[in-house]
Amino acid sequence: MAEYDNLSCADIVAEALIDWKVDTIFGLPGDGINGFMEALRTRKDKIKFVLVRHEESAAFMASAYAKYTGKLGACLATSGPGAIHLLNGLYDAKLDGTPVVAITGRTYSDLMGSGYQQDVDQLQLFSDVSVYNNIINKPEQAEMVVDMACRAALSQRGVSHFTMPIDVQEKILEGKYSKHKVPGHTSDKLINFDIMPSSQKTLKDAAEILNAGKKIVIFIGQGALNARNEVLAIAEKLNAPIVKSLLGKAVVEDDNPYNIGILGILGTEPATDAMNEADTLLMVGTSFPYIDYLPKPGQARGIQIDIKPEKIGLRYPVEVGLLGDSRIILSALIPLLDSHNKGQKENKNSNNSFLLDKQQAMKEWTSKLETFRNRSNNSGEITYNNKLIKPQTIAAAVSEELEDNAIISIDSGTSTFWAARHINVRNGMKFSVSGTLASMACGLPYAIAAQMIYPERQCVAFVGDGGFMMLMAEFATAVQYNLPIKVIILKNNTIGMIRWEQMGYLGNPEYGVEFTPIDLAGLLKIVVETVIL
Amino acid sequence: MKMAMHKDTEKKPVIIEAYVDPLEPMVPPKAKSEFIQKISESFAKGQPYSERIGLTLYRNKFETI
Repeated sequence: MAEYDNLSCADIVAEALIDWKVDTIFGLPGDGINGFMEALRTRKDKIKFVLVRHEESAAFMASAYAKYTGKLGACLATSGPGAIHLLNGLYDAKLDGTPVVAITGRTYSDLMGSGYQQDVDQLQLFSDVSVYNNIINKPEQAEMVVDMACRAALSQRGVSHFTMPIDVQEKILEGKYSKHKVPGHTSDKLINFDIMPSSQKTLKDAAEILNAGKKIVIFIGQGALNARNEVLAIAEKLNAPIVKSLLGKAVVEDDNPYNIGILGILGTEPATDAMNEADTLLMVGTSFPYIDYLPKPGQARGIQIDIKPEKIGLRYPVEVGLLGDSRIILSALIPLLDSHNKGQKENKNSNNSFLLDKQQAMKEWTSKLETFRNRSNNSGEITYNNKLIKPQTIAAAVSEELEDNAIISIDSGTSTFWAARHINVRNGMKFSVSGTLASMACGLPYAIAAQMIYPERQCVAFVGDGGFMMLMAEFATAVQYNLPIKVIILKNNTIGMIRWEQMGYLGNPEYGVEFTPIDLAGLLKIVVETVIL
Repeated sequence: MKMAMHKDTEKKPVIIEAYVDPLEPMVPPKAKSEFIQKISESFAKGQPYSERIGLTLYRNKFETI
């Protein structure tokens, strides 16, 4: 423990985070966390602090950082209100299985629980969102807590939280340990995630099912983001169409002939049909929640690859579960598969009619979307300064201008719908959203985090006005850090998704969904470049 | 759009505020009868803009047949 001699508790936390390769912390300081802020100030060459305008954004940014890099995201907030504000963004990370560590301050250790100012029991508050949740009571405990927090977040792919009372942050390590404590008993080594399936037999069992299938669907999610080539190799070998979850949109480019689109209400007709007809379902790195869009239990033989054992068989009953990294498992599976293509080592189930049928349907679907998109809006009475445009048209126009390595962050609402269908992701791009929590307001913070990480890439936020307005102050963050993000706002003055849910799900007239219009571009034009379409 | 999406020489964020049709229907990939039924119910109960929404839904459906 000599490395921590004469260091404060906050210093030790910062050093331990650096050991875990944490290089960026998004947050908003306050008096409850200022001891740790000093530790960051004195290490700003090793760990960057990004000041946001609302703590919810900091958590979204940490989540986006982890989603776009595959590394551990980090955020901080002060005690009480700051910590409370973090929660929504942290739930985004939790529900999408994203590793994030959240650090909060607490009131003075001898006033905790007294109702003192900003005295909130953050251990209880964060108990549901976190896979690891602790309070640091003294410097001698600090390294262990950081090690456990980082390891738990990475290995369990979730949120870790620890809090530190303000007075504890400033305490200097004295080296006075309890009689059972052994300094340095935890490690800061990263975990090797190259997990292989438990046995060759499991792989062979999976291959046997796939070799016997005639109508095989490959369903991919964010867990396959590193496995594009392997997914395509299996699709080609099995004559299997690929269906994507929204978080898996960037796994395979949208114009790939094996892609038949996203599943679900915002997805494509061929994807829905393929699921209804499939006799075999291979799920790769997805925990797609809308189970009514999956085959009916018993209809298709199920195989699932996931890094979390508890996800296997959660949404669809599977015969074989393969635990581990998608790319490694698919690579091991490929040699065991018989080709369904004629002319090669032929499988008795060789038949590409299912694939051809879905590919043709996909062409027709794409054409239909284009027809809807290009139809004029001249039937309506509602216009905004004669500038009313179909939202699909904007999505398609954005899609046309995406650079080869663009990073597209979208929001939750009708904008999700139009982005899913009309923004074409190409190989090399990144695409993400608050997938399972489906929280509004994520798009802008996600784009800011993306541009922070990848300053040379085109980073786009495609959002609705409802979601944008929730955390629109972060536009100033983009200005502060010289981030040339492109924010496309679909302005309809409505919580549009809710309008359709009220009508289409409950059969009720809309209520409470229309905003009084405000001039967003005008509001922000002092600090931004503005283009109004 | 082209100008806004590629302009970054000044390292400033860009905003495109696009005034879009708030009544463009969000139709599921396969419009289930229950969905259409519920929309009809909302019309019967007084859904605003129902004429406009209904026309777009009808035209979309008609062109898919």
